[in-house]
Amino acid sequence: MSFGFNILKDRQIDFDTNDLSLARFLSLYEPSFRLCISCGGCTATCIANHHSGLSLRKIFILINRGITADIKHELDNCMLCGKCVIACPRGVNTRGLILKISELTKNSEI
Amino acid sequence: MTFHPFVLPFIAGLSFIIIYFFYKTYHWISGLSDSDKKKLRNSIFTQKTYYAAKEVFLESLLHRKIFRINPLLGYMHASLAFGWFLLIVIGNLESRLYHPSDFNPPYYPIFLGFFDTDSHHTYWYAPIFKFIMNLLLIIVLSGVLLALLKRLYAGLFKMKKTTHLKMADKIPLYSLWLIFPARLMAESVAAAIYQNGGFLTTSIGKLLSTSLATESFMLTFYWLYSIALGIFFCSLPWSRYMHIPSEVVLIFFRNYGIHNTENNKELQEVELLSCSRCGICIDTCQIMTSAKVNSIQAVYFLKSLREKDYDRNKAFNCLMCGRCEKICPVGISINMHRQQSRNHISNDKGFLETAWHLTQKKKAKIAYFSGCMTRLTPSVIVAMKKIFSAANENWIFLDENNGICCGRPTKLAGLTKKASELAEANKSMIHESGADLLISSCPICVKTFTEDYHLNLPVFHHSVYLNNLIKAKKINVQKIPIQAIYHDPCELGRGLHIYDEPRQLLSSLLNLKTIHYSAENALCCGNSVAGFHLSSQEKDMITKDALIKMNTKDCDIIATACPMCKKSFVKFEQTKVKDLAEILEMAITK
Repeated sequence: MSFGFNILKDRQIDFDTNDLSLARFLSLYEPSFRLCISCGGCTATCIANHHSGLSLRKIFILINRGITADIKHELDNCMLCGKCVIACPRGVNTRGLILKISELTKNSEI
Repeated sequence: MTFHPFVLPFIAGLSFIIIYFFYKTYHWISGLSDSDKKKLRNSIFTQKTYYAAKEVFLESLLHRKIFRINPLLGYMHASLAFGWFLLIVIGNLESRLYHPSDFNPPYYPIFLGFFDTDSHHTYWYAPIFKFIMNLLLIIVLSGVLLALLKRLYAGLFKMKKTTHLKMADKIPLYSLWLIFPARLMAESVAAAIYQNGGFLTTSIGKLLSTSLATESFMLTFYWLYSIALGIFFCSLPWSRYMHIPSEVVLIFFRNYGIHNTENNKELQEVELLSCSRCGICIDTCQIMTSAKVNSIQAVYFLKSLREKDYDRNKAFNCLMCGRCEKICPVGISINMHRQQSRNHISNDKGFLETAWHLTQKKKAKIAYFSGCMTRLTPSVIVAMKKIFSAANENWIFLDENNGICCGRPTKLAGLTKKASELAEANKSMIHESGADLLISSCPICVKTFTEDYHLNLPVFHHSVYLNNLIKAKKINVQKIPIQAIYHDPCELGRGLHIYDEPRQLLSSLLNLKTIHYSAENALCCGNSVAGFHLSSQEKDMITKDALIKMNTKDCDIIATACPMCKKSFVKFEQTKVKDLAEILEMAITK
């Protein structure tokens, strides 16, 4: 029977299956990662966002929730221009974090 | 007597280093690219060789550049290098004058006090030589003493930090320190026995009681002297003292126009070996003086690179401001090494998919590319728009709505493939616009446009363009009665050597005050796009320190030509920070 609408998919975060290793790694080696308050200033100023929809805010939230599968593909669009670093009100070293993540993927730890 | 077994360590060391040096030089020359080899062949019998030889004399021996930076440090280097050189030359001359016909083995002048026991009685000029040689020995010894003091108290040399040492450096360093005191003692005892000393060696010889002035005592010191020389020569290739021969090769290569470019492995090695680790780059680095990070400076970076250790932090934790490169007395292309190191470390496959689609339908004479950073300082864009319309220019805004990065930050991250993909996209957009002139407000973009894009139209930073506008009287301005200081952005100044145009422009608009930290000595604002590892706190420390050093209190305006510098300074500065375009906008008269 169709009522013309669906029930949304369950959006709870399952910490038993999700992988928080990246979040832990980043907080250890680039501690400014923990300062992020998800204000979205980085995404608002991002030039890659304009073209590919790259959202640093979303990516950081996903890392904190342990959902890291698609991150590399999305981060690949970053041009490292550094506007997000200047825009960030919390002093998160966003470019450092992006390089750290790509360094990890090079060593295939993610 | 012309031989004694104690000369053997010296002979062994000397032969080893000579063979090693010629092998290395052959290796370097044969590894050069064909165009570089051609340059070498074409210029070897020209004036360039003379200039190179002159530079070797001034820099490798006299250390003129170090003298200019720090006179005491310069004296230390010059007394050791030039003093030792003169000791060798005059010692050779002296020995040849005494024995003009004899076969003169290379060790003979070095140990003249031992072998030559009677000539000084027969030749009238012998005392003069003894005096000169003793004087030179004192000068060299004073250099050794200063080197020792520098190890203990770097502050004596007004240096905040001197370099750390490793074992391979300590062996030749200690043997170098030992060479001259051993020589002094050996010659003094010889002077007491043979009466052949100068003013210094005779007096020290007299001080030693007759019981000490024996042949066995003398031989002990000559053995020590010879062994110290032998160890020094043998450990040379693995220590920083390899800079002595390498720097000579580097100076000749530089004068022949052979430089360290992106894939020049040989030049890279010559430059790495030429670093004498004088430590001058440490005190000039703002990451050291302001952010107190003392592990990534050029001297440490080049050292790990020489050991084939591509340390990620040393390569990426650098603002590439170029201050160390400008002050380096050897002239090593430090930024190029950092770039090469970043390229080596980074894993670059290019963009997985290029999501941007740039089209440029409109045509115009002037194409204006604001750059990412300028879009964070919209007042600059507003000012540029007003200036364009005031000058009645036919222009278009290339990246107003959907521009992409110029590619320099990705290049600086070592992602050269990504950078060239971005460059290609921008290039086609620039060419589609049909412009005859490309202007950007961001020195970072201008740097990459001029160096990497190979465009067929001139590229101007807006400071140059605005200066030309005023010169051509295309725009009417009135001088504003305010005081300003000008801050040279790294990429515009040291990066592109544009120092005069912004100053000319400012002088025609207001009263420009000169400051100590300007032109090649300008400070970095701390937010350079090349710095990937510094935390925001460390960057802030650099910015604040730079503002204090620039002494911004007595001026009404801080003028700069880079949106990034402006953005960094306004964070902490009470005085207004204005871009050149904004100042010109203020001065326009209708």
